[in-house]
Parts: sequence; structure tokens; C-alpha cells
Amino acid sequence: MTGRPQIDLAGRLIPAAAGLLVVLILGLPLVVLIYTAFRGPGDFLPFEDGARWTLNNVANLFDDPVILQQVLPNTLIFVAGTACLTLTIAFVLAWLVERTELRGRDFLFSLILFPSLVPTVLLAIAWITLLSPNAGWANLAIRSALGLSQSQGPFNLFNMWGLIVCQSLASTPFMFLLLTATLRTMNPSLEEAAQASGANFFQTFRRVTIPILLPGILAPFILITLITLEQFELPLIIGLPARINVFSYRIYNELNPASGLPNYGGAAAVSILFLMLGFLALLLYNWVTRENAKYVTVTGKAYRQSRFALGKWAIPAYIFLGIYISFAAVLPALTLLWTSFFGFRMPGSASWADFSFSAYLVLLSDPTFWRAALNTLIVAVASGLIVVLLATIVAWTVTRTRFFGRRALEMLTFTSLGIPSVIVAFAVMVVYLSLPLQIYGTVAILVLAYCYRMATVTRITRSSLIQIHPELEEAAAASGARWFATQWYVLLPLMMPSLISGFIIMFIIGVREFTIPLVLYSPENVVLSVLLWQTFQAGQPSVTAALATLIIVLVLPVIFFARRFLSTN
Amino acid sequence: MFRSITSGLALIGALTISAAAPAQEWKESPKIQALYKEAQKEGSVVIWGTNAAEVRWIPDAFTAAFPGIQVEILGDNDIVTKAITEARGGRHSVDVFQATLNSMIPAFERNLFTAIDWSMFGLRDSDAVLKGHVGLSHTTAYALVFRTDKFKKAELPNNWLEMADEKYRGQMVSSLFLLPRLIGGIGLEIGEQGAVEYARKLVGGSNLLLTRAPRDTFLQTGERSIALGEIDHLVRAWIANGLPVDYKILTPVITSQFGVSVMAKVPHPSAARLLAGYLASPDGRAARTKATFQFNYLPGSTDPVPAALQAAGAKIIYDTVENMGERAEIINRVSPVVTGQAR
Repeated sequence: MTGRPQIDLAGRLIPAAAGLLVVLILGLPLVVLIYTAFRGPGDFLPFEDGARWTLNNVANLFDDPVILQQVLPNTLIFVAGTACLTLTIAFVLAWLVERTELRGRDFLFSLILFPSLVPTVLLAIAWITLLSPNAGWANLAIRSALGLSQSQGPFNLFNMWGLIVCQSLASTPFMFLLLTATLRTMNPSLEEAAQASGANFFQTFRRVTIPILLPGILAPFILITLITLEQFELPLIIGLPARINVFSYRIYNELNPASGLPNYGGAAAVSILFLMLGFLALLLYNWVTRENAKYVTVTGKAYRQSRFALGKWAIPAYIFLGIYISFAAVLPALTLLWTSFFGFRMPGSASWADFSFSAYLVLLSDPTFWRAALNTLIVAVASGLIVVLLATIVAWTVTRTRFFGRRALEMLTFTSLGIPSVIVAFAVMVVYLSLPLQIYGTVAILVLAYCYRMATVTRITRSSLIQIHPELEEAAAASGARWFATQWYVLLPLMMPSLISGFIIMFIIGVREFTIPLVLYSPENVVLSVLLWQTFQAGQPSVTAALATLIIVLVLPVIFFARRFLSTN
Repeated sequence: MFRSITSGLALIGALTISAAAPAQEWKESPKIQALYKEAQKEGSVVIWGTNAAEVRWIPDAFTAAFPGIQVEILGDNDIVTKAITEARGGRHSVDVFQATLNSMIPAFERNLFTAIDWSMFGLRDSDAVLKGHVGLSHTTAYALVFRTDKFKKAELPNNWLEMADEKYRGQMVSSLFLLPRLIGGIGLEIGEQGAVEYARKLVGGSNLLLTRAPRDTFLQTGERSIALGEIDHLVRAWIANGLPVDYKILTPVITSQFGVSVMAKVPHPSAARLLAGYLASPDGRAARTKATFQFNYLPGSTDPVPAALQAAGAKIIYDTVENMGERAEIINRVSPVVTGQAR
């Protein structure tokens, strides 16, 4: 079989339409954002009557000592600290799970993933309850157990360290997933050779394992740097009380100032500054992953992954795992469950008389809860389906055709990875307020905004397509199948596991997304994560905890299904 | 000498007011009945307020007064910017807007509101401001809240400025939204520069915990013992719910005047006018007092706390159309200092 199969009209129109949609969904908001930065006065939307060209927004940015002396340094410290700590925690966890004979690895794997599957707002609320300096439950318990007379600590959540540690706990699962993949595919023959030559475990680890893994570690490290740069929830809930201003909050504050008018132009100018930082990290990521080819560790040669016996290190390993899982999964979940029944009464001081289901009853009888649950489901499913469909067509266009602009399309989808969600929300808001489509404030605008996460799925579908040899499509074409039938009956079934994986990831992202709906919400399109924040702000701790518990109950089956599905595919 | 007021007295006052509900003649007028019929045809109405507690009571109360009209509510600190943004984009999803006069000015200046005839709802001429675009609904006062197991009321100062003292370091929590507004009011007494200095002292020296989260949770857990600048009627609701706190109204007494408006372009024009008018009407005020422990702080009030304050000769700073501009400027200056967005 030689040559590419002929592509008929449908095979040209469908990718062209998908490409256009991707440009509209991902490219247009970005262009409008840049346009907004050069339009003024700041409180005017860019296309509004009275708006004019100006450099003031950008000039003000460089005149503002707070941006340069506070927001920028704070952001860099926060990002660097979080990326380093996340890497350390995630690497140890990944190594323990993938490369040692640790017992209960499967169960531990699922528990480690917990923080990535629930809204970060939910974790923040639980951590505040546990780790507030004066009356955090963990602090009270430690002070009581050790007989300490001090009225504060030993932990303080409300400072830069607290913010970094919490963000690291929340980000670890993502890094853990990437590192387990790297560790799983590493050929152990070099390690075995080192040990056969008399090197002990630590020598082997330092001189062989780390150098081999370095490129595989560097790429996720840059990725986590990018992801931390866009974090908003924890800087809002934990950073703000300590007056730690990072750029994502600054943008939000420009749009929703404590007083006065929204400053669209100012927000756009700040966004551009940090988009540049994001793009730099993205270019670095691209460069690093391109270099990965030099360090091929997965070959056609068969090998069996060896596992290290932990020996006397088993106890410290379990302690490390225990501390991580306690603070990242078990304690937050239990704290929320407890608060949903007992309010803020501490375990030990509460009695059965304090036990109440009323928070759940209040929640379940509130139509807003059901609307939020339905909206969450619609947005997560719809954005997941749209993204998987578009990402598949884009990946096919890039890998199977020589269409004009395919590289630019690929670049555009990948670039979306470097755009923080607060900027996405803002850009989408400006676009759809400016277009006469009347979708601002509806569920549709959330679906479109969530599609910004396309880069995650494009990489999955592209990898999947690369693994499928074109000869199958060529055979179908040679047998007389038209383009659409070939894709539908041949390619799609083969890609299905990857497509389902992509959908699950998008669904989980859709359920836990907070920043985008917070900027774009209205009573009509409220989702669960925003409702969680609203009940929290409204001083309803038990209802907030009950809602958080219900979200966990909703997400838990997905975790186990995803774990089973992803591990078998 | 200014006398502190007990919360017990306050609760009794709230109950007294609710028992003395005013007459309801305005509801029976042909104009109102015609408006009600039109509103019923529209079926629903949407109201936004600056806080969930400010709007949560409205659906039940309004439906009791005017059955057959569903009320949708949104309580959020960011409603002003949200409304302006939506209107700029040509989206009009909200009917009635309820906020402090201070917050309403930017929206009024951008023609987001429409003027209505407030007299048909039993309002006096003086209760309709900003060229009839806003009907005055209720007043609130800023309070200092403290845990009763940590502080005695008499030990705490009577003046807001003394709260910047080193001895309260690490013990206070405040709202990101409310604190700049409180200091904006204090600034009318001590000047803009004095207000900025006070803000710097509070956030720098007192290690004030500033949050968008509810402060009652910080008080309940014991994480903080003092909440600086809370809305008085919310505190009375906390006390009624068993939170172990009491409150004190410090001088100068800083009040906020709330109002309601009908949006210029509304999805439910008749229901919007009916709801806005009801909220500003004597019946609406009585229902609000009953549901939310609110007092009227305007001169001549018979509510116990305001009456006692006025009798004691306490300096009370009112939110008026005349001083709103100055207060807004001070708030704009103080707000970035409080949030750390300016030095």
C-alpha cells in the first residue's frame, strides 16, 4: 500500500470548519485581549462608543510600583516555591509508587489523586479549618498534645509559606501523574549495570537515575510552573488575608475592585505582562520536550521494570505518604464531612445533640443547588465533547494532512496551555460582551470558555494518532470507503480509549473549575464551585461543607472509574 | 458620654418594631393593583444585593405580600461592577438593584437606573433621591464585634481610631469589602490623609486578617476574637443564632444608607417596579426589620440602639447624597492600601 488516501470534500470541509472554530474559540479572545490593553478609558469596553486608542494602560503598568515591587516578586516567589516543593513531593510519591515494593500501591495511587479531582476552593476551606494559626484544629491538637502554652501555631496558613505549601499539596497529583509515566517507561538496565558495578542505592540514584530522568522531570517542572502562574483560588482565599498579591488576583481586582469601576484596560495590560511570562515558560517547555528525543528510554527492546525493596526505609516512606495523604485528602474530606453535620464544633467537644442533617436538607431543598448541579454537568459534559471532537480533528489535520496553516493551528492549541484562566475568563467576557450573540451570563459562555483547556486533549489525541499506522486508513480507502466512513469505522474505534481518557480529564477539569465561572457567572449559569464559594462567603459553614461533601460523592466514582479505565488503556 | 448598647436591648427593639407594622393603604390603591396584575403576567423578578443576608429574606416576604411572582436573588459584593459590565455588553438580566448609596452612584452615573414614582408605594418625597432613581430603604451602622469569653464590653474603646492600638495585634479580622467603606466614613471626620494613615496602621501594625470569607466563622472557631467593622444587623442575627459574641457601636458612628432602584432596561418592568417599591415602602421596611434585625439610624428613630446613640449625643455620620462623593474618593484611596494594591 503506498501513498496517502484521497481526501474528498467532506475531508476538507470538516477540518476547515474545525480549524475555524478553534481559531474563534482560542484565537479571537486573545486578539481582543491585546486590543483591549490599548483602548481607553480603562472602564470602557474596547468596542464601546467613546473608547479610543491609548497607551495609558500599559504606561500605568510600568509606573505602578506595586506591580513591579510587590506583585511581580510575590508571583515569582510563589511560583518558584510551589514548583520546587511540588516537584519534591511528587517525585518521592511517584518513585515510591512506581519503583518500590510498597504495599497497597493501587489504593495509595487513588488517594494521591484526590486533590486534583475536587475544587481547590473546597480544599482551601478545609485547610483553613485545620491550619489557621490561632484555632486551627490541627494546631489546637498539637498544642494540646505537646502541652504548649503559646496561643498561636505551630502552623500558620496565612503567609507565603502557608500559601506555597497548600498550593503544592493541591498541585502534587498533576505532577505525580506525569512523573509516574516517566518512571514507568524508564529502562532500568543502566541502574542494574550501576548496581552490578558495586554502586549502592544512593550512588545509583544520584549518578544514574536522576541524570536519565532529568529531561522527563524538567518538562513537568516547567508545566507546573505555568500552571502555578495561573492559580487563583488559593491566592484569593489564603494569600489575600496575608496581603500576598499575585498577578491572578491583581487581574481579578482590576475587574472587581473593592470600590469604583472595573478597569478593563488595566486588567488587559496586566494580563499581557503575565502572558509574556507564560509564553516564555511555554517556549522553554517546547524546547525541553524537543530535547527529550535525545534521551530515549523506551525502545523496542523488552525489559521488565524492577522494583526496589524499601527495607528499613519502609517506615519513613509510609510516614511521608501518611503525612501527604492526611493533609491533602483524608483530613480535608473528614473535616468537611464533620462540619457538614456538626458545624464548627470541634471533635471532642461536640455531642450527638449537635448532630444535624439540616445543612443537607437546606441544600437539597434549594433550587439554586439543583440548577448549579445541572449547569455543572452540562458545562463539564458539553465542553468535554466539544474539546474532544475539535482536538481529534485538529490532531488528524496535523498528523495526516499537509493542509495550509496546520502548524499554526497546532501552535495555537498548544499556546492555550500558557494562558491563565483568569485571563481566559476576562478575554471571553470581553469578546462575548462585544459580539451581538447574547450569550454572556448563559451556560454557553462557560462551555466556550472551558474549551480553552484544549491543549491537554490535543496532546492525547495526537499521541494516539501517531501510534495508529496510516496503512489502516489506506486499506479502507483502497476498499472504496469514503473519507468520513474511514474515519468513523476505522480510525475512531481505534482512538476510542484515548478519546474517553481525554473526555474524563475534561470532565474532571469542568467539575472543579472555579476561576472562569467566578468571573463569568450570573444567577442563570451558576455552577457548583461558585455556589460553594457563595455559601462560604455568606457565612453558612455547614451548608458549604455539605455541598463540598456532595461534590466529593459526585466525583469519587469518577476517580475510581478513571483509575480503572486509564490503567487498562 | 457615649453609652454602649447591649445586644439584648437591640433584639427587644427589633421585635417591638415588627409588632408595630405600619398601615398598608398604598397596597390597595388602583395603581398598585394594576401594576400587580401586570407583574403577575411577567411571573418573576430578579434582584441583586451586595450581600446574601441582605436579599435572602426577600422572596418569602414579597411572595407573602404579592403572591404569584417568583423572586430570584443574587447576593454578592461585586454586583456593581457586574451590573455595569453586563449593561455595557447589552445584557439586561437584573430587574432590581439594592445597595448602599455609595455603591449606586457609579451605576446611576452610567444611566443604569430608571426613575419611578415612589409616592405610590407610600414613600415621602425625601426618601426618593438621585432624581427619583433611588428609593431609600434602610440604614445600617458599622459595629465592633467581640467574643464575650475574651473581652468585656467596658474594656474595649469607644472610638474607632483606638482599635489600631498594638494590644489588639493578631486578634482582629475584617472584611475586604466592608473595611474600606468603614474607613471611608471615618475619613469624613478625620480627613482623607488621616483615613489613609489609619488604614496603614491597621493593616501594617495590627496584623489584621483581611478576608472575603465570613468573619463569623473566624469568631466562632476562635481564630480571631474581634471583627472590625461589621454590619450591625448581621451581628444581631449571629447572636440570635448562638454565636458567643456581643457588639459595640463605636464613634464616630458610621452609617450606610441603602437604596433600591429599578434597572433602566429590565426583563420584567412591572414586577421590577412593584418589588423595588415594596422594598422601600413602610411594609417592606417592616418586613426587613422583622426578618433581619435591622434598625433605622436616621434622626428621630425610635429603634432602641439608634435612639440611645442620639440621646447620648454620639457623633453620627450619615450617608447622604451630599457627602457621597467625598466618601467615595476616600474609599477609592483607602481600598488599595487595605488590600495591599498600593502603599
